[in-house]
Amino acid sequence: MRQKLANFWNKKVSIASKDAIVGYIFILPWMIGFLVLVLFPLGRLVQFSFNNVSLYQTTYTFTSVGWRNFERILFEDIDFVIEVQNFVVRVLLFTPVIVTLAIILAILLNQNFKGKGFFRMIFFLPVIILNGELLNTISSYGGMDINLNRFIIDIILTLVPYSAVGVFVSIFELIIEVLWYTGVPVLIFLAMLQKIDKNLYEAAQMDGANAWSIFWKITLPSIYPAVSVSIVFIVVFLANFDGNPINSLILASKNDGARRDGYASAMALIYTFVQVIVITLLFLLTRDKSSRKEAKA
Amino acid sequence: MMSSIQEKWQNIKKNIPTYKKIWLSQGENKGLLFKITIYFLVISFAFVFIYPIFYMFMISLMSNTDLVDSTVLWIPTTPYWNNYRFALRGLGLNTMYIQHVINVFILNQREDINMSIETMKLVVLVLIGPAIVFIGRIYTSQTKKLIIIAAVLFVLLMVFPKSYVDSLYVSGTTTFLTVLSSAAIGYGLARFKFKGKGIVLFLMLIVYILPKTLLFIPLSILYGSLGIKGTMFALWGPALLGQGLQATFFILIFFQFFRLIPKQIEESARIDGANPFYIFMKIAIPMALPAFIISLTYGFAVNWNELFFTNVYLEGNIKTIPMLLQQLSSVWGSTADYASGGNYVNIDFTESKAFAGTILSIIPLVIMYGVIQKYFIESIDNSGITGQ
Repeated sequence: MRQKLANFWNKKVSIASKDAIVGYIFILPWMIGFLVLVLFPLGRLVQFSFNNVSLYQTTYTFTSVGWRNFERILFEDIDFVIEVQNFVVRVLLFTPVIVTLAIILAILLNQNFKGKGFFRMIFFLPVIILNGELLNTISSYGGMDINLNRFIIDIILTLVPYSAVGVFVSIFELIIEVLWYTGVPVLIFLAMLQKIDKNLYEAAQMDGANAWSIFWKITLPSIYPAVSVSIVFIVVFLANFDGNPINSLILASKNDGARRDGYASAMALIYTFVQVIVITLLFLLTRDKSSRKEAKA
Repeated sequence: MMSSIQEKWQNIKKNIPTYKKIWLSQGENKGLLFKITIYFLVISFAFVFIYPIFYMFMISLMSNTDLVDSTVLWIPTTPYWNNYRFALRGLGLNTMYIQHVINVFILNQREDINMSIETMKLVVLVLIGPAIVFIGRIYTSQTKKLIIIAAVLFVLLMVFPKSYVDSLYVSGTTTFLTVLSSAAIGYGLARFKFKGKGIVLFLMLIVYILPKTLLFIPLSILYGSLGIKGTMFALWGPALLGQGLQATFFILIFFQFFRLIPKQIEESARIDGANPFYIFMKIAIPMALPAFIISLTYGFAVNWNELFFTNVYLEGNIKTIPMLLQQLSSVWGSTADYASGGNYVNIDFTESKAFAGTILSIIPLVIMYGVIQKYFIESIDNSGITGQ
């Protein structure tokens, strides 16, 4: 039998279809995972969201309630809508700042200077240690505000009028918080920067271009394709972050006697819908048109 | 007199370009001004990165009297190490794992402990050593070295604090399975031609942008009906099927990586009649070492810090460090009420204790990163990751 199978495999199957079969075997785990752990649960989730699900010991009972769950979430209860609004505002506010800072950091780290390794190590540290609980603890006990630090405030006060200090402080705090999320985007931009051909810079210098125009004409266009990728990464990261209150809200709703699984499922669906829209919009807005043409060609 | 002034003037004139040379860039040489700007920027960013950690560390050394003292800003009057003693107890870091094993299996102290999970954990931890030797022998013939590594690892696991071992067990095994399956899937996508590849990649991206709260309700019901909810299989299953945490990200890294490296060696091995899975194990994996280092490091950190899935799927049967950290303040009463030298002010739960706990929770990651960072950063340079 085995001999026959081997004979069949070696002689009858063409090289191209052999290739295809082996390829399918390699991605088989993912396909099973997609069907069993994504598609099937997604169907169940949609079903749940139109039902009132109650759990008694280990048996689930479903009562169909139509669009009631969605109505309750969107028009009656206010907590979820407000959290989603906050989330969208946060994403729209954070993403440009994160991308800009990541580009600046990547360009800095791409320079040649002594102690580069040390600074790289520090800048990638948040990638490793960042978690929701950590950030919650730090920010709730004031590790993120510089309000505590009168020395810095005094310096700023000598430079700008009192009313503007608030703006400075909040921008600074925003940057402090945002810097924690820059780790992976910096990696992506750094990889792009290292791919740029050094000859391009030399040629530009020969032609008398200064650093400023080199940055705008060569560096930025070369790393621009990574912007949309990093934006997707950032939004997904912010959405999945344990510090994101929507996640805990959905979890709490699942265990809330008045809400239960059906309500929480509807919530998760709406949230996913919002997130997919935000990501798609940001992605399409920042997408590099020239790279798409290249990919086609 | 006149001549000397003229000489000086000549000298100055000669020197002006030199000063300029020092300050501004001149061809290959970057000027001093450039260097100062770079260092200023880098150091200020580094300060912002380090500041919260530094702040946390300083506060964690303060006693409660220091906290309310407005003259104490950063440096505590005397380092108050009791915060750490309390936090160690609260996080379950004050017993070695081996001690815990003796307590559970020999002395039968089994309240709040799920025996089957505890047994499986022990079995897996014991089997890690032989597994390292077995897998390592595919790649090197230095069996002695492998055995030494395995033995050292085993001893370390046994003497590590109990909660660290639990966390290591949860995040280490899950990361390993996630990265292994991602490597295989990425390899399959990069090296073989088959129909529907574009669809698979598109679906992967869709799965990637779905928030993780989307599917946990039906999934936990599914796991419940399969009987794996509350066990490690609820984390291992998705990890093996390419649905682990950040799995898509890793798949894309491997996909990109395998596309970039030349495939002559593999092809010649194939012509010699080698089995494609053997080629993957023996030739492709060693070539993808940088991608492995990146994904193992990042994946380990992500899994170590994971709170949502471990909370939902493990049902408290195994408590990882972040889970314990989350409940540190609520279990404080039972943790701290032992003799603290008659100074009861210092027993209350304050940010000092929370920060001490947080510092303890990131120490293993920082140590791991310190050991591995050289390779990690080199790998990033070599791999050219851009998850396009």
